[in-house]
Amino acid sequence: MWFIYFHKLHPLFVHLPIGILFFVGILMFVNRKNKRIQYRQSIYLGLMMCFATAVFSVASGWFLAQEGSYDVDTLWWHKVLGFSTTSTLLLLVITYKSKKLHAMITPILFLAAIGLMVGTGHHGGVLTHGADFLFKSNIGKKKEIKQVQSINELVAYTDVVKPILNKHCTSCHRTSKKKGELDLSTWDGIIKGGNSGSLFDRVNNELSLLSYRIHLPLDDELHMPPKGKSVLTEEIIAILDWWTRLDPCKDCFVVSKETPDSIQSVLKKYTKNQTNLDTANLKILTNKAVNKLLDLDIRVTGINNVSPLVSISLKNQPSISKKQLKALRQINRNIKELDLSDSQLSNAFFRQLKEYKNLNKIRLTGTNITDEDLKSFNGLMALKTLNLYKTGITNDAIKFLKQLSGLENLYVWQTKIDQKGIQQLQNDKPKLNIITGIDKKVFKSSALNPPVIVNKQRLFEDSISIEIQQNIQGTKVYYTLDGSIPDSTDLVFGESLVLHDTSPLSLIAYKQGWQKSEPIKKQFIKKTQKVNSVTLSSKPAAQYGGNEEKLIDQKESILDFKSGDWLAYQGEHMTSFLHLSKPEEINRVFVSCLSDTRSWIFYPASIMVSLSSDGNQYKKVNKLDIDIIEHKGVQQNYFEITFPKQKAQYLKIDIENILKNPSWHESPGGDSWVFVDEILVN
Amino acid sequence: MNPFEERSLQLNRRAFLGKSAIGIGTAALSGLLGMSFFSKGKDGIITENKGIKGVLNKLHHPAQAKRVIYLFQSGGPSQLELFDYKPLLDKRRGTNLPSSIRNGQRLTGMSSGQESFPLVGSGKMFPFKQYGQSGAWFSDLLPYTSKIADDLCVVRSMYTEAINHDPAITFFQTGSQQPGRPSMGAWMSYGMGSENEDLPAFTVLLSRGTGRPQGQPLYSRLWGNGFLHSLHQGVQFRSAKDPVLYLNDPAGINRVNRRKMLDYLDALNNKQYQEYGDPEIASRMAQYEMAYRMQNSVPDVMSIDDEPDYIYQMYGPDSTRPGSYAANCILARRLAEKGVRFIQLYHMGWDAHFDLPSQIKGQAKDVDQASAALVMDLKQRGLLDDTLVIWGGEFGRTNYSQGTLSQTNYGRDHHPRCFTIWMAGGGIKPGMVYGETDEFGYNITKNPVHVHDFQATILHQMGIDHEKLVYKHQGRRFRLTDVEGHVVNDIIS
Repeated sequence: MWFIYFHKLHPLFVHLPIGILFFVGILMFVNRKNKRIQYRQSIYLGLMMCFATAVFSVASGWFLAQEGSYDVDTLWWHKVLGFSTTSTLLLLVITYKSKKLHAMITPILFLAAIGLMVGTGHHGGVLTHGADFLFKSNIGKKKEIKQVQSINELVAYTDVVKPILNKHCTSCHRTSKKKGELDLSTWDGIIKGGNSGSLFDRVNNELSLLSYRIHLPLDDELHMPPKGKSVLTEEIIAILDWWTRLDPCKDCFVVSKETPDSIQSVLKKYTKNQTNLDTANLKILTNKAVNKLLDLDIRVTGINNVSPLVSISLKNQPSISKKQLKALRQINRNIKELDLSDSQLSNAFFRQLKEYKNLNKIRLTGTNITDEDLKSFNGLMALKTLNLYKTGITNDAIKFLKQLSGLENLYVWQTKIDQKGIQQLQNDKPKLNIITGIDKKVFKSSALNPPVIVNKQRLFEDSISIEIQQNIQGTKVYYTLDGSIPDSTDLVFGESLVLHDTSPLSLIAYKQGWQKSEPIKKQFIKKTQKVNSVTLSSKPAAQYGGNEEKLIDQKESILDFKSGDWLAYQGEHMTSFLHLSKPEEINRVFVSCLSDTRSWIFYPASIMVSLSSDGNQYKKVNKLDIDIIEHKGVQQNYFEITFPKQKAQYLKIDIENILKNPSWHESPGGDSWVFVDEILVN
Repeated sequence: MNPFEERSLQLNRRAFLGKSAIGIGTAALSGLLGMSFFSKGKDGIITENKGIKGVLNKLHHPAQAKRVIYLFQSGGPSQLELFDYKPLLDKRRGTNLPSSIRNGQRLTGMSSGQESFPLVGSGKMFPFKQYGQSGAWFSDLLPYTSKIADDLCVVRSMYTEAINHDPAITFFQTGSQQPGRPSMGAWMSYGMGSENEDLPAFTVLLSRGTGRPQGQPLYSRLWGNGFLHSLHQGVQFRSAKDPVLYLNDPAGINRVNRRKMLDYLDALNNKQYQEYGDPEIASRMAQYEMAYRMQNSVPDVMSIDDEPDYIYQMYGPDSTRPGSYAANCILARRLAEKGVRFIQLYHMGWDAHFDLPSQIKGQAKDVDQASAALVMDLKQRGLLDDTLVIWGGEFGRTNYSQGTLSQTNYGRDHHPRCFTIWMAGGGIKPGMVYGETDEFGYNITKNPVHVHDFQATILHQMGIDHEKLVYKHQGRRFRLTDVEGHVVNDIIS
């Protein structure tokens, strides 16, 4: 059924007679100049071909016109001229053979055919491309976005939507070519809608008819704009979605209470930059220029395809040379930001500063700028941000700063401008944002970290030298050895501290301007009594490796229950009998236990110490009850059980397992473990 | 055949075919005009004495930010304890997560086997208050960050596609869940080069959290260069004696000797380069020179002893401990002042599957004061307006408890469907809250921001169109946002 596509080939057919007629014209011209060349047959054949293809064009065009939606007047002229052209071509074919008529009529007919063809073609062009296609030049024209001072001035239809429709829709949907009977070139046409309905009709809650069509998948037949035409950008889609959901309104402004932020931000590009930038005839810097500047230590950043304005940095220069100044001067209108941090500036620089018409931000941190130099900033109309942090500017600068009318941000942290000066300036320029440094109230003096005790070992033979680490200079550390919390009346911790006896060391750090640290405490234990042997009432769990020897080897185990040094008991208590080689004066026992609640390991519920002189009759001397608290990670503690000093050779230590995991545990009621690695007797 | 020639032929077969496809005529023309047909190395990897030169001669549009400080919170901080206040979760504490809310979402293997999903809010433990003009919610865990609310843009509607750490961090860093693509900082180095010839354009600082010290590890491919030139990979600065590994000269070699050695090596390399024209030789030479200069510049930037006491006070007591997050924040500011383009911090330990209340206390204390101090410190120096500071993790945490919910203890599993990050400076609107989540804190109800959107926005602020910064590799063009990503215009000022 190729036939149904026949009329679609009209745009192809119409070009055939044009080309052929053109060629025939050349042959005729050559033949006329040089009679000896016999082109007559070719010319005749060409005219016949021309006529035949013209017939095809007319026929296909006739059917195409049946589809409608073309401007009626233009179409009528197109048809009339098309028929006339074809008829003229027929006449040409007929008269060309006749010798009588030939010489006189052929040139006239030929010129008439050309004229008619031009007319037909022109009207055809108007039908497909629009009347203004021919004389509208797109070359060298900028995007015609209306620029306004604030988006409040934008009219939704005329300033925003209409240009979009004109760019993307009206090539098919306009008064002279109403595809689908839709005319988007006029307000009335928009309101009237097309065959499928109005733009504003709701397809569902979310989408208007227009939105529906532009959101369809690209290969959907109904997708608009159709395949091959330019695809709408997201921003445009967002605008059209929003606009067609509103009630149709010709003169409404863009901004109302309901305008969503997302639309407002898209619309922002319609607003003009309000600064008094002087960018006329300004060119984007070339690579070559940039490299030349770099050779002079002048670094250019922010070169972009849109704006000729760039950022320049010329930092850390002991002096700015004449060459550098000259180079800067050549591009002075291109400079939007100038960073001169820590450079030494000369008067010559300040003299040329007024020529930096587009300077928006200047950073003079750490430079030698003086109050008087600020005079030269007066002509900088575009200047918004002035950074004078870490300079010698004083209150005398206020009078010059007041004159900078466009200034928005002023950085004066670590200058000699005092609170009074700032107040004065702020009163004069209430909108100026003066940044003077952090709010001391927000960052009020924080607490010191507690000192860090470097020693890992807590057991020692005769004495131990304790060393601490405190990162903040000038911190004073105080300590106690009796378990109380130290304060600034206690002893000062010097370079190091030597302990000769078992003692709990507590430390605290102080420094002017800081809050004192949290106290920290660490028990140091002297190995005084060697336990001769030990017996256990029951064997510890074999898989963790602990045994009698490990219990009294006076070595510290690491915080890992799998280290092989821990004696482990699950769901049962632990009782151990310790034998000293001879009766000794003793007054305390330390038991090292592990707690790792996620691994079901808890501190014991209690530790009870009983003494005996003969190894048979034990007498309880003290019992320590321990609270089981939930905690994270792994902990270890030396539990200390003290009792009145007395002579004894045998000790019995009862370590009470809590037996069942507590209710807060993630497996409550499970058989819990107790891990012990060392028992020390003092 | 000489292996080098073989390699260069292999390298250029594709280029040859690609160019012939356009037409042998072009090839002939380029030959006639004396262009080197096999020339490579014009794709942004060249260095000169002025640092790394980016591939973009011009940015795509004016940039609002010149550098990025990305405070990456590794492990997935819980938005529900820090930023996203959900009173309903307290009201419904202990009741099961309605299936209409979960909507069949796939959970991780760590909590998918749970019989119930008891909801849990921040409760009385971490009460929330509103701060600043935007009325942004912050919990008491963030006493400092909350006070600078007017300088922050809090995005509560981030979401990601990955549910586990490695793919999620890789996704955030490279735009793809599979390893092998360049990290965000590497893309910026490739596109824009370095601003300081003595330092790399992309630096990395790591710290461990006190909340969960043995948490998820990190690995150097997260700041890797992927298929870009190795010049663009992130350089890790450590707190130890050698801030940059293998940078210092071996014992017995002084700088004069080193210089001499480099000069001779340069001469040799130059000879080789003349002969083969392999661009790798040129960039290797440049790297030696960069390392030589970094021997001076790195110790200078890393020794923070010259910072005054009030700076330490501002960043908090941890800032004096080398290797801490707070100390890294001070370093980040120093690197920013030196013109390093992309400074990435990683703070580990946010992965609170259990013991969340105690873990998050430690984590928040690690980062709260120092992060806020960094923003304010940049502000008082006038650097905040062109430095983009980002704080956020790779995903959020579930609104239900992983494991048993007790009176005082619970955990939270990974949650990719919504989480919170904040940004400050660099042309992002200050004092703003963007996006909303539902009452359950499970799904996003307004203005969702995908990871690719986030990446597109960062590039946009740097003056780069995320669709145009591409690198051709294995026959197709790659970009940070792959084939997706939309700039979040709403949060740009």
